[in-house]
Amino acid sequence: MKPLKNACVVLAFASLLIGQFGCGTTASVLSSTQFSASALKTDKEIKAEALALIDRAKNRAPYTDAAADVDQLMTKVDQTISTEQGRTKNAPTVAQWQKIKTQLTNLFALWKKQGSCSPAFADDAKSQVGGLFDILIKTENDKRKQS
Amino acid sequence: MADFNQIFNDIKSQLGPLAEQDLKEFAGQGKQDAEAFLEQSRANLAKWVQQLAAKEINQDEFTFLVESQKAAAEMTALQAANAAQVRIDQFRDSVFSVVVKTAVTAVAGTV
Repeated sequence: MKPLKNACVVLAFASLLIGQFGCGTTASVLSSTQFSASALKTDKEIKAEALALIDRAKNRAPYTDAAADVDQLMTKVDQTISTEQGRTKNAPTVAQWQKIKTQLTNLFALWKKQGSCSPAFADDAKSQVGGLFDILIKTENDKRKQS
Repeated sequence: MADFNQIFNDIKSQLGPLAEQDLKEFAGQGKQDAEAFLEQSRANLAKWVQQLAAKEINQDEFTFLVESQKAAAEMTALQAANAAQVRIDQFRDSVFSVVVKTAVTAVAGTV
């Protein structure tokens, strides 16, 4: 009877523990936010591309010169959002990407509407967009397991 | 037979300090980040108001920059939410580890 009693003790602990985490399935309860080296690489690559593109606005470059590259960049952003949506417990990162997409869309729409941007604006817009990507990168780095 | 109450008390005594340490570190870091962000926002807003007045940027550009600062605030809040989720996951994993180790040790000692 001893092994049966021991098994009961272990089972009692397991059910106690699962009970602490509400009504989700066991798989959901045990899932974790995971760091992704590939996502981090993509974050850095798209940041570099976006900033290089904004750099071109500095010298009052016309939007038409950059339009094709803007479209390409925004397609990459959409693809990345789709990929991020497929990751476990990743809602904050998905929401961050959507905010970055909104900011980039607004920036390029303004550039298109005006034809060109003032140099002071292009400088600060670059710094602001760079800052948004830095927060996104920090968020991914925060997912690394801490000892 | 292992004493269930003894094992449970053992687990409780190990989890208290673990939770306290995790939460204290997280709250401290969050406060520092929020203060740094506020300081940076103030400096940026002052600069953009000055640039608008000097006609170095136009009103639409000013609006975009202010919106981008708001987006940065929201992104910082999302970063904190993510960090909290990671802490919760880590704390949960520690709880599992403590429970399994303590229970297995106690049960093994009685076999």
